[in-house]
Amino acid sequence: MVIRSSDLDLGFVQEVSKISGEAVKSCFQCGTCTGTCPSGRLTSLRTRTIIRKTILGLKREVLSSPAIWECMICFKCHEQCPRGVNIPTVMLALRNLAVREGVLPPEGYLKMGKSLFEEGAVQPPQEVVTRDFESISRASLNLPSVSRPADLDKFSRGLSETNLRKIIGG
Amino acid sequence: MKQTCVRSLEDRHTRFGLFLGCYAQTEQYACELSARQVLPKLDIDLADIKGAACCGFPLNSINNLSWIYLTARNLALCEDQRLDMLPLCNGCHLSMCEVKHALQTDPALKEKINSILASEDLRYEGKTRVRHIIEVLHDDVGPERIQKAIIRSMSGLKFAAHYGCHALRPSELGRPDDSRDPRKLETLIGALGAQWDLYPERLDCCGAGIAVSAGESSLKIAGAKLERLRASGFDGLVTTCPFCMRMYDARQEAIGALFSSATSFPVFYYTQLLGLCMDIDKASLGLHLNMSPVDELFQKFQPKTA
Repeated sequence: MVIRSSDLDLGFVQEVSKISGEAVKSCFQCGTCTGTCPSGRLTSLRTRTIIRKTILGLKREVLSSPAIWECMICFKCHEQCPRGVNIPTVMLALRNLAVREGVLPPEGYLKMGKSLFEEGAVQPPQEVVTRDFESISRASLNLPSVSRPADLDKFSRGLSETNLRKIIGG
Repeated sequence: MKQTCVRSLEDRHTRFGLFLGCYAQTEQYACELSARQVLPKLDIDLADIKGAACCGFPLNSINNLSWIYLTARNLALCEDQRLDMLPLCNGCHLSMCEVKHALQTDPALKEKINSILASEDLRYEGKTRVRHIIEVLHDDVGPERIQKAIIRSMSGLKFAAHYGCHALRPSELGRPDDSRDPRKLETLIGALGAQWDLYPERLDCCGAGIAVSAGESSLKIAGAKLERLRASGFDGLVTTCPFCMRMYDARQEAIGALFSSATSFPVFYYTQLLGLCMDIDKASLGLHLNMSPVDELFQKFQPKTA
């Protein structure tokens, strides 16, 4: 792989460290993270590579990579990291940055965000089926009605102040 | 002298605001049903947190501030209603713990969040105590009191425990049990008279974390554990987390379609097994809602029917 200096953003690693609060540059590339990653066995996620490219400053490549969305945030790598880097938190910072740079996140996240504004929840109560294929609603189980914000308008206004509406595009 | 309200030593009642989050109250109904049945019988009183919304955990992937705001908002509601919080989901519990820590260490962030919360007349101070259901059952109630509260034993049955990642990690934040060698859920299974055993995949993730971005891979991750358990002589898998349960139980048919070998395996909420031992009927514990073959268990343990 040829890396051109024009592809590098030398401030990228500082940006990621600032957002995540993690000393990303302290990584010495031992690869324990990739070795412990249960997602990487099945997906394109190679944790060490993502960290290395971040340190190098390959901003555009890292932020457009589907791999940063394939971390399960299980913290297995973090428990093993000899440099004490909270890698899942770094992955979340990379996702946040990607969204800020205009990368479209997996659709499910946008759906959950939209539903929060409309319902005050990531999804409304679902009809489920029993093992005998009988349809069951929450109400029929004698459970109290779902908890939701008392004033959805005020709640949505608060949520908008966190910039969420702009991100989900509504 | 004026009589002050002193709680008697015999009065072991504790009260929590039950935080249901997303899936527990919108599709994993057995989680809430069984918790509402068994906890009051152990002197744990449950109150509803008025106005509660999502913990915000999924949104942390697209906007960190939205997550912090949503989690802090739920904690502020508990403060306002003078409640400690009992989240049923591992993800919600970790969210609460992480955000409490973040706001304690970053006063500027706390003020920013409080300025947003003011629109709903809420204020976050950080007074709410957050407890995990495994801590409540194991540390507060304890296996001895559980043994006294049950009237039937599950002796002769053997279960595998699944804690779920966020009940154990990140360890430096203080999680309900030891990250490398947890035993509380096994101890709780033992309190029902059942056997438990350790197994190599015990600390593995359920895969739910990539259900949104890589659905097939997430099913394969859950299926790998079910496949091993199927072949291992356990009577069932036991968890407390609705997110993990959704993967192992509700998605089991979809998992089966991806695997050539057998992955069909009974999966339970711990509170469902505890309820069966208290002789609570199956339907009240939501056992008709488990999609995995839990009837296999009922051939060995005859539950009460309503």
